[in-house]
Amino acid sequence: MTGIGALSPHANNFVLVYGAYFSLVLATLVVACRGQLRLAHLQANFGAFPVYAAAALATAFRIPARFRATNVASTSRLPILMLVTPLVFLGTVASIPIGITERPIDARLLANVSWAFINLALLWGVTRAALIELGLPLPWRGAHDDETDEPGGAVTSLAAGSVDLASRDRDAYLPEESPLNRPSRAGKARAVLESPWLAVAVITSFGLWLRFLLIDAQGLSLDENSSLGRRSSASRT
Amino acid sequence: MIHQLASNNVHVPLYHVLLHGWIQVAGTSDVALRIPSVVAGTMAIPLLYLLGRQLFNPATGLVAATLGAFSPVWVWHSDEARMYPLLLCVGLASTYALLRALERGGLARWSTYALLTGLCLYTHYFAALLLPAHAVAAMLFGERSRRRDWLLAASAAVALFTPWIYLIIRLRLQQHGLHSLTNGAVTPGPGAAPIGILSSFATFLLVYLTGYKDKAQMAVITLVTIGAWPLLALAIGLGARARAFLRTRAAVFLLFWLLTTVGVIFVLNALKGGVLMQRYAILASAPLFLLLARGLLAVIPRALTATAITAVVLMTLSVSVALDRSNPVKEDFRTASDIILDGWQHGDRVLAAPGYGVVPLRHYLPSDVPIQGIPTAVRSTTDVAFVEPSQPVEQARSSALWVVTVYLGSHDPKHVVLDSIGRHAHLTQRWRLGGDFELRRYEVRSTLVHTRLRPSGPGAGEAVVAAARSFR
Repeated sequence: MTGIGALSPHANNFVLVYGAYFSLVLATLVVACRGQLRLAHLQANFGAFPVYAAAALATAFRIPARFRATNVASTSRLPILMLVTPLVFLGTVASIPIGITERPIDARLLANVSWAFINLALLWGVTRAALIELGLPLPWRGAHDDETDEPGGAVTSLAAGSVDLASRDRDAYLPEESPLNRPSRAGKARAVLESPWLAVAVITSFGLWLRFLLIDAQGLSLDENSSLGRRSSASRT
Repeated sequence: MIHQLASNNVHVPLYHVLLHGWIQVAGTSDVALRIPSVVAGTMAIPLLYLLGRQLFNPATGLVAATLGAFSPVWVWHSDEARMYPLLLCVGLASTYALLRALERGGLARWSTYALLTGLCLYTHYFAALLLPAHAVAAMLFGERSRRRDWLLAASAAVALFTPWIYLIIRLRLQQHGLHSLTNGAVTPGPGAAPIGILSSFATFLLVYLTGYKDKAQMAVITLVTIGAWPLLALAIGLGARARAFLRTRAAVFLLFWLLTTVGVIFVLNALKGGVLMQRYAILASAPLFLLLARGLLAVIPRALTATAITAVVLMTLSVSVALDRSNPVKEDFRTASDIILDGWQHGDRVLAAPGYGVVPLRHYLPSDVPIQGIPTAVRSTTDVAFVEPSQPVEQARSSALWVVTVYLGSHDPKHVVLDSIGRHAHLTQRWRLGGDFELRRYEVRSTLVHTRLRPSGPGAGEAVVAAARSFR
């Protein structure tokens, strides 16, 4: 609330000290919650903080406070309050490059950037929910569980989105009319990647093309001349 | 030829032997010289995929291969006539052969591994850093008998390299002593404070993704990355998947490979500056890309999306790094030579600082253009030497000096050379052709001919200019 912390951000080793402090706090919370603590819990607490604060103040000062729940069925108009958290999120994101370019690069700035990332991690829970409510598509939806980390382990289908496609759609389809059976442009692209070697060949070809595109971007460097010199002097002997 | 390479070269011979053969076929044009590197650098892409598939799954291999295909550092060095793409290619092939041999065994697989590892050792001395990582892989992935097989195969690889070690020791001890293996460059080591070490380490690894950028840009990128550590702490502290991943054998192997390679080079740099370079640790980029691929797939689980985003971002960075004139490793002697030839007048002279810049300039400038090197020293101004003029100082009114400087920030941090030249010659034009690569044109004042020559110290600059003017 006051911006005063127990650890000084002026010290050169701030990140190391604060890193240990942050990790210990996190470890304590994880142990206290018997390993059940998730980021979503922290995000929910963070998102609910204004309500808790308002309720606490209302109780302390005996102000009649009223809390309303959002009407899920109502889609007639955009709730303005819903935009607050995404805007704060965007503001925090923007503050990082602005701060770095405008302020001297030192331990204090590093501390502020670290705080900004912590706030982003906590704000993301409410922001993500707001974006979904606003109907914006989110390409990231969490990781898959069908992977094996052992050498020579299970082969995961590269068409990783195919399972998502069915669950994302809220409507019901007959099997023959399922979106999974409709060839789309994205589906065709995924089909290309289903053959891993074909995908690797495409990537390698692009890599080769890029290297040939830039092969003559500059003349021979000192070291390259050294290579040529070694080769030439070796040839003379 | 091998004798020559052993006595006059700080590197192991495989690349130069291959280049020698290639030049007989393709000639010595800039493009022809670089084609072997392009081929080796491109072959490393599917090899990284194979490694990712072997350790994790095809999706991870594909994203890692995309990171390698368009990594600005991989692309940059694939377009250089140097041994680093070959080191990458043979090192990855050796590691893949090891994992296959540990999985399936067999004389042919172990022989392939031994041969590839031996070739890797003949590509660069730092390839030796691969052996500890391979030892850890053998312990993690191999059964007891396979570990013994690895020991035999690794011994065979080292035995393949033994003749070269014998040759080096014999020739170097006879001629100059073993210290002649070093290149003599000394650069400041990383800061000793924890934050200095952390940021140096982060910057070092980030360059594999961002490419070579100037210090100010890298400071910003590093700050954002280090500042984002709470996200990593949250992912590991609260993410069961992240913790489970870190406990896998593949993750332990990759982290050991990455940290050992970079860590050893880091320590070596503290002992003797000038070795903390991304190209020396280019093999460490493989575990870095594999770990990043896993992280990327955790955030963007669709391999197609992750591949496309990675390709577009890194391809843009690769092109910008290749064309960017603030690129600190850009040394465009060809453009400098073209500019000199455009403005060349009879009586002009070309100076290169440090002195070894003469070699690439001589490659591009006609033989009748006089070029002279200015030796520089790093430690103090009094070490600045000069080249003794071979002919008496002569008056040459209205002649110009073309001064090409490369990495002068490291070689002459006190600006002794340029300050000295500036006292006796008037700077008329300046071209910045790289982050630490410049061409300057000076008009020489006629009074300079009376300047007294001194062997070193504060007067060395005058000696440099006088020597240059006397040179024909």
